[in-house]
Amino acid sequence: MSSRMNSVAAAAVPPQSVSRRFRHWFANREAMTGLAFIAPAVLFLAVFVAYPVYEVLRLSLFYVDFATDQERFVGLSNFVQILRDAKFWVVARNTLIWTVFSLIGQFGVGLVAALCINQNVPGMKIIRTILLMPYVVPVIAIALFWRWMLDGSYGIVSAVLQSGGIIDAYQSPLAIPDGAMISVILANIWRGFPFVMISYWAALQGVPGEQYEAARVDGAGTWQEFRYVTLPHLWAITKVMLVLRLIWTVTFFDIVWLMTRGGPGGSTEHWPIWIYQETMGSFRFGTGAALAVMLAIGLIVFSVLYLLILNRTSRR
Amino acid sequence: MGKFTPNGRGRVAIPAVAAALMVAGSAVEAQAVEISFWTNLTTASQASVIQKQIAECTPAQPGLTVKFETVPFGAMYTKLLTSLRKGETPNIMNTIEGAVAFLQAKNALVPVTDVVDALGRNDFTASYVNAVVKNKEVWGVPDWALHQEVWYRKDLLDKAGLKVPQSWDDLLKVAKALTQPAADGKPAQFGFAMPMGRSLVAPQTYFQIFYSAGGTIFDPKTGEYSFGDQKEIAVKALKFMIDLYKAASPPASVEWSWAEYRTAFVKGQVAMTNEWGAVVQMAAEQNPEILKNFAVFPFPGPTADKKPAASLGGGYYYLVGKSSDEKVAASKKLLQCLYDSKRVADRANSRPIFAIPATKSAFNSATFQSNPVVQQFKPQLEIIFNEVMPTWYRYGMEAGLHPLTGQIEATSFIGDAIQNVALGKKSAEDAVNEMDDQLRFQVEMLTR
Repeated sequence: MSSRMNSVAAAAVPPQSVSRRFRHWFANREAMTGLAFIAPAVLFLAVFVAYPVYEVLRLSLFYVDFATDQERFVGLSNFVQILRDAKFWVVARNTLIWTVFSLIGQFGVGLVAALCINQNVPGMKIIRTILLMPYVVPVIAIALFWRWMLDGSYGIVSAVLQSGGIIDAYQSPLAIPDGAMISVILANIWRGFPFVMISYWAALQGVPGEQYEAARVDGAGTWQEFRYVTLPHLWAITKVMLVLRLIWTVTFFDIVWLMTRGGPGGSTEHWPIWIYQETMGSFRFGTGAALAVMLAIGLIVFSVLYLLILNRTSRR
Repeated sequence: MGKFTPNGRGRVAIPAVAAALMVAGSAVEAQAVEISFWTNLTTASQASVIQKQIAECTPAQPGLTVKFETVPFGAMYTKLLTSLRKGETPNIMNTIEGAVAFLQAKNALVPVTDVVDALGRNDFTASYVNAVVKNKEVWGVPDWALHQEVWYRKDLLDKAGLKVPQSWDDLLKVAKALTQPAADGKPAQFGFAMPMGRSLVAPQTYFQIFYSAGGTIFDPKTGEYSFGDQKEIAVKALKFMIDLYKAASPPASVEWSWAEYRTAFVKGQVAMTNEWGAVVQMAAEQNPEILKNFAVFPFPGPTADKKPAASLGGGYYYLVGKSSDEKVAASKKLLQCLYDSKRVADRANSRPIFAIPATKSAFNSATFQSNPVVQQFKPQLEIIFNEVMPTWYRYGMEAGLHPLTGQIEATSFIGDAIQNVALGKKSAEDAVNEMDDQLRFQVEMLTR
């Protein structure tokens, strides 16, 4: 009854009063100040985020002739072409392997490293600084360093694998499809684990010491302390980091490109390399944009599902 | 205060002076021309020579200023696209043939036929001019040659009593004979480096073999797409490439790029390699003792009774971008000054052996021939200049300029196909079919 009355009242408001309210709002200095404060951020987002996103969405529906700069609306045919491409499943599989194993490695190594640096022993400050280094070293240096270690003739890693009979003499893991994928994943784990380590370490600082004491009083061993005290405290940060690292890993282009160029035989070509090749190699801007849109949709769908599942499990 | 009133003479004189000033002003304006000059040669030794020559030539055109910029090859296409969109194509660009095709396809160049003719068309090695001809116009002035041939270790062949290979079978036999496993603390030696890096390197190696057997992507006479009709040659060339890789090349070379195979050759790990001459400077810096043992021969054809049909080459060119008449004229005049034979030779000498002048006058000039590295490799240079440089193609440019070259270099479908055969994941026939499909697709897209 009351809602019906409200709607009737709203309909009865003359248009002049709306414009008056608008004028009043503009006359309100506080509101104007607020608007002035957010304007730079809104402008920045509009120019550097909203417009590029709009442009990518628009381009994905066009064929762009790089020779004449002419555009032709092609609807969804760029997407159809991608789905029909023989590379589609290969690249999708590579992207999945790259992402899943990179994340498992980074979270695993990051957690172990965080537990280690959480100990109060002499020299720990130096160890923490050293462990952080892979994250601050430029990717080009990391890629060259790994390529050198994996060189079939002079690389230390290849020499160990060759002497162990795991690979042939003068062979490099980078020249073997599976070996190349393992190599780029290991390099990515090495580069990315310090971020996870620092985040976990920060979370570990917040675990109340009394809880460990109480657990010990109850007869808990080291594993039980970790399982029932430490891990639950790390769960909140893990949820956030997982989404962040997933997005960063799926879209991480540099290290794979610099180490393998997506080879040998396309065995390490993942989604970002495909986007790059289509856009800056073949100059098929429409197809490149469509690939980027597909990746974005995939990430959004995953993130939404992930949050839904998390919400449901936390309610239980 | 008296008022200035022009008398009869003044009434005539003032407009006359004003008109004279306006004419003089416009003359000064007409002389003040600024042109942009891009080069892909980013190393200091090469870029500084060009800059010095520009400084020598600009005084001949009063009012001309040159904005010089080095553009790394890796960023070139992106930067060119951006400049084209802004309508700011460089007035002069020094780059490789692929970029000539790219810019010509974008309608961003003016022909330089007049410059080539003024300099003397016959002075240029014909193959370098022919590569950049389209619609009967020349679109780039050849500067220096990129050339590919087999570089080998003379001492190793002599020691094993082997002769320079004259056919594919010969090459395979010699490469096998020079391949020796590690023994007595000595590292293994490989007969031939067969690099197959996914981008650029694999296509460059493969097409060297394919061209030696007489294959082409486009028919040089008709300009029609011909790769699909030459699958037999293409498969044969690919099988030979893989045989040579399996028999005599380090296994890791399936993903080698230039740095890796050059290092292997300079360090003595491989006895022969298909190369552009860059190993000379590299050896001079890293292992000078080995330099005296370097020699070359053209990559042989399939059989000894026939010379190789062609090789894979390329070149550095000077292009003139579309612009105002004044800028085009100033650019062309500057180029003519830069093509003094001594200056051409000096530019080639900024990376000796790797760069060889594309003009006969510069090649024979005292400036070029007196260079110590050139003197040391005189017999090799004669082979390259007389046997390799006259007959070369760049993939896609067998019948003159075609943007397919840029597409092949910027993508990896040929490298993928070749690597997959080397890794045993595909047959040579399947790989060639895949290349054919992709080449047709690229050609169709470019001519759509």
